[in-house]
Amino acid sequence: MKKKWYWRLAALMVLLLLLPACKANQSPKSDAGSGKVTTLSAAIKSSKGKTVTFYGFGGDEKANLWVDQVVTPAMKKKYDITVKRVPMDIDDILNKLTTEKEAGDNKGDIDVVWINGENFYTAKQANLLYGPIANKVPSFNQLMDVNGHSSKYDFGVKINGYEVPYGNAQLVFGGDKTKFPEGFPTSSAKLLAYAKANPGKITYTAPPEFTGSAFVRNIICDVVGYDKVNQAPATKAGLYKVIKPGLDYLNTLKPYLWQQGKTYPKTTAELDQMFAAGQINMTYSYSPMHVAEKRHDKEFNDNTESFLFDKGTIANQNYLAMAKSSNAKDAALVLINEMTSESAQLKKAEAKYGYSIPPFDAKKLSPKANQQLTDIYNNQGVPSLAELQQKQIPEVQAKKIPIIESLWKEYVLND
Amino acid sequence: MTKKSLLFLGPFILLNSAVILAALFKTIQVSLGYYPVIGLRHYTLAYFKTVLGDAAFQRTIGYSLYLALVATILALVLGLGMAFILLKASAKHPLLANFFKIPIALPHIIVALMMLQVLSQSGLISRLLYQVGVLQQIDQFPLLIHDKGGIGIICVFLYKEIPYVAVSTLAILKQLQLGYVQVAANLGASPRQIFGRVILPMVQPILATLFIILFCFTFTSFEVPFILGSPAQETIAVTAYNLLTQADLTVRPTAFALNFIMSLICLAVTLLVLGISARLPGGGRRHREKN
Repeated sequence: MKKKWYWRLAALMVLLLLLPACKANQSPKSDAGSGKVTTLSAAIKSSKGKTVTFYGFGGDEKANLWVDQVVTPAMKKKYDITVKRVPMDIDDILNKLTTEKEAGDNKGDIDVVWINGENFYTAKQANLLYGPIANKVPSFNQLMDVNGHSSKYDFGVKINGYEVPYGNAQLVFGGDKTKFPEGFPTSSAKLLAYAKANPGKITYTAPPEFTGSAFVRNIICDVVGYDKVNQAPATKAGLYKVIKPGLDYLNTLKPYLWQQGKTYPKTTAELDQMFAAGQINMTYSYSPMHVAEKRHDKEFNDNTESFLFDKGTIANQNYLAMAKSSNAKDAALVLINEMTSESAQLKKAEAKYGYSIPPFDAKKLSPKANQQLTDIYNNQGVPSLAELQQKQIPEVQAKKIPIIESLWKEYVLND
Repeated sequence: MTKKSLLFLGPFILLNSAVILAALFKTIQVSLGYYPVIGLRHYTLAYFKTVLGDAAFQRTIGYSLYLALVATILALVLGLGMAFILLKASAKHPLLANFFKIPIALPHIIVALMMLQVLSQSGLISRLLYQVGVLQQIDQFPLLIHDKGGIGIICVFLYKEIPYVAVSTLAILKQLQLGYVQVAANLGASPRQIFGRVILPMVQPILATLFIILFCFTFTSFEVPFILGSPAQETIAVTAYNLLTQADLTVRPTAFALNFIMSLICLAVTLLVLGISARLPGGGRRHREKN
């Protein structure tokens, strides 16, 4: 009796396995989701009284506060649209979108997504986003550098109007200036010299941790030059050949790292904790205002200051995009425009909302707005906007990132 | 099975088939290379070959086995010992056992973060010893987090699992106390016979069950090694997660293959332990009782 039961289950499994193969032959459903958006003014009219969702990373409390206290009330007042903020990690958002797509669900409840880089690459690969939308967003056309690199490429992936720039991020180092009597190490060579003189006082978060991965890429770009990494083929062998000097550098640095590089912290929160405890002398963050925030919160002492590499640090932008399965594309467009508006973004730059840097082109902003931004960043131990913009390296292409991470693992971590 | 029992088991079986079978089925499907979202439509064993043939993946599997076995065996031995102590103490302090139920109620992720705050070099104990003057530098504190041996991870499992084993076995030990041992001794059983014919048959089925639960849980645990593990030593679940969250969707079948192998190992260990348990004294008891 028992055996038969197993066979039946096995047969059922095989049958199930074949089922989707049949289904796949049917023609795919036409455009998922409902509605199309033409212009902002039409969208404003048709979206009155609707509810729109904003899905994004929920771990940044100050950014959450900004959505709840600035964006949501403005949307209600100006357009009678209710904003629902759903905190969710981008990996989960993409998984949800992918699953919804696989299930053929065309009434998804994800409308606006906070996204960039590798995840945009993933979303594009699986065709999960609606677009192009950038040209329909007035704040993009009126306030941003429409032809700039970050309006056209996100981690080297062509945007084609599927994303609207939302905020700036740039890798910035932080150090206690009393522990660097000869000045901060502003190049990979100076960093190595410092590590040799102060063994165990430097470390970095292990990739695939997001910021640690950027640190490794930044070192590689500093050693071999961004252009070479940019032009390298996106294959393991090809990339290895080009970035080998960078990996060699990291291996030379390894014995002088904390724990001789045998292990690494896994999150930037741990890195900050080790830095605050004096265990290591240098930390870093993707948020240029990180040191100011931590000084403001009394976690770092007032001798802590930010610095950059002379040849630049990796900078990228994060974006807003619209889900293809969105059920309220008109309201989503209104929300994207509001979140990238001058009034909302200038609020976001304030201390209580996280010192975020707007994605605007300084030339297109009014002198008053420019002055307001300059005042915010003064005397906080952070680089000036001009210095940040001057010392920037673009992100390497998204598909090279996992390859670099696996090369680091193979040749540096496990070597 | 009677009609009545089907009625009561039905909802659970349905729920289980919907959740577990659907997930398992999807895992098998994707791991065999059928992933139409990115245009993969041909079944292949290539992903299993990659996973089983690659040295890095083999190391992950080996490391997960090491962690799971060490944590499970230590938890069983120490938990059983703790149950004996609780048994002796419970006469005087009847509420004592409840105190040890607290760790069982805490989620693993909370305990992992707790360990991180307590055991790391910049953690509580280290700073305390530094303030007292035992350590000249907090770096002198031993590396217990992100270490290669996974001490921090094992500490979390032990903190959670020892009380679990103790509370689960306590009920059985209480039965032992009812006088089975004394009766056997009175009837002239040698200590060896008492152990082999009385204690072992009563205790081993529950220990075997606990072994399966603990092994499968620790072997597949994600959050604990993710927070506390060394980047150089990944467990299967962490590797699968890293693959799954990569930008490149084409590595997903590999992640699913890894997940499937993880499930297979759990299944194999479960069958093995059940088989051993059935052949030990007391193992056939369950069947006899049914008949």
